[in-house]
Amino acid sequence: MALLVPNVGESYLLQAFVAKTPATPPILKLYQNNVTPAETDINTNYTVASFTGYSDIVMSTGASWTVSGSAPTQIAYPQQSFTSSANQATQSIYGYYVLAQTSNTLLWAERFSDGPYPITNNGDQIRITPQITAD
Amino acid sequence: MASKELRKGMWVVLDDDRVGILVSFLDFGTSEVHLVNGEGETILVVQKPTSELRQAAFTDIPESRRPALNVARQLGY
Repeated sequence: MALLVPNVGESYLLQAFVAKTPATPPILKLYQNNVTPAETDINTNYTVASFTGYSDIVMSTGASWTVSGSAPTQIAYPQQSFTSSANQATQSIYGYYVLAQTSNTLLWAERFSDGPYPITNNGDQIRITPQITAD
Repeated sequence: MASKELRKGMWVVLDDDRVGILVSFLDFGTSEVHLVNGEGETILVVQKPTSELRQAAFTDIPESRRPALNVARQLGY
């Protein structure tokens, strides 16, 4: 499933695009509620994962994003991993969402097309390569 | 005010009044829609002729997923 930029994310991104409001590092988060991203969504529509070992990932190094291609053009961040650190009651992870640091504005979200992914065992892992395509 | 045209991520209603989110436009004039329950949770993924979809009204959107009224109006709900 393709990612969705909600209405609030569109506004944020356009303002950053023209330097009206500086962008802040995006935060990558997993969500555990069974929702499909909608254009009306804001950050509180998503329930962040809470399995043992989970922590948000701040994509803080701007230089780590790599641009490639043309028509369409893509930008991608290195693969990130979320890892369980214990055997635990299963938590189902339905997708990921990205917030702007500080403002917590919802930038984009994506439901896993083949999810949910269960986190149960010590070492269970979800890997995501954040990538945006524009054409 | 947002266009009345359908768009990805839009809340839509099917001909049988089921509510969902338009996820993607497919080939042959069809769309993928994720139907939701009263809590806004996804319950079924369907493919429907795009011509059978219409933008949801504000009150069609499950309460837990409803945006602020001013935002909804800007988007045409």
